[in-house]
Amino acid sequence: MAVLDLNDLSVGRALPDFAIGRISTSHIMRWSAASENWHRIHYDQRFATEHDGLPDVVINGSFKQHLLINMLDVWFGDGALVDLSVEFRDVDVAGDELTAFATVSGVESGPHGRRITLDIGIRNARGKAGTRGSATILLSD
Amino acid sequence: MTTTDDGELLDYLQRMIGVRTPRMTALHPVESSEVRRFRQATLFEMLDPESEPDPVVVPLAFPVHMFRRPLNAPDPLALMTDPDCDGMDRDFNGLPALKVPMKRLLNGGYRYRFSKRARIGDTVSREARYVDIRLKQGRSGPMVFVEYEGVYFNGEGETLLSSTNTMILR
Repeated sequence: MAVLDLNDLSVGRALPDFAIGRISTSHIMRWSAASENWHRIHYDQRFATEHDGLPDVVINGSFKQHLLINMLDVWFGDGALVDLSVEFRDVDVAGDELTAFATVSGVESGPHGRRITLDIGIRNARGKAGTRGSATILLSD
Repeated sequence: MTTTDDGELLDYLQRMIGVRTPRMTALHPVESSEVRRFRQATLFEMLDPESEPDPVVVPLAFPVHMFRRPLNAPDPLALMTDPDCDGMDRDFNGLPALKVPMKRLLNGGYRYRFSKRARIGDTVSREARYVDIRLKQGRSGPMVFVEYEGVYFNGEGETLLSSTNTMILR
């Protein structure tokens, strides 16, 4: 992952993309087992498509949001990420190649540091960003 | 009993708003083996492959996944022979299960507010409540949007984080 220059966080700046890679059914199974999530739409293709009308087994929303949380936690350092919200507007399915992204949408400076707001999301290689949201970072300069 | 009439369903759902759990303690304290499994499953080490992994760093939202099925609780997989069983309970965060006729469930999204990182060995407890429940008409029929909150504490009573999750029953 690219190193982030915390001194260069102006509104509109796109942070370096984080290439998560192709998420296979094995990744989905590993996260489902780790989180004890037995939702069939994540591993039973017939159930996902025929019962729930989904295009394929889907990548867990919880998996994607933890990728974003971890990314911002590592980028900005301990204690910086204070708020994060995401909406799952479209599904990503097994085999999708995912990339996380973030753009600075606001910067406020105060006596104790900077409050950075970000537009965040995850897009797939089909060009859809079905996971979108925002995050707030507090940096004590 | 499952509620089927829309008016009756609406009344029932409105009565569930604000229902909360007492503070419940996770089965196990924060364990290094579970943290390792969680980090590997969420590709944590991929984020900073150059650095030496610090095994005691607990991912910020880890406490949300600490509330596991006790040994004497019913096995959810025992119901999988039912073709409509999707493997998911409707008792979000340990709240009373929502009795609705919708058979499909989707995750609508989350909000997290982080206060303090959990540490290995912490005992974690949670309080939960139904924040909002709405019945809407979708293209393929009625849908229920369930918003519920969990607030997580360490053994000293300090808030670790709060989460709000929206689930869609359709």
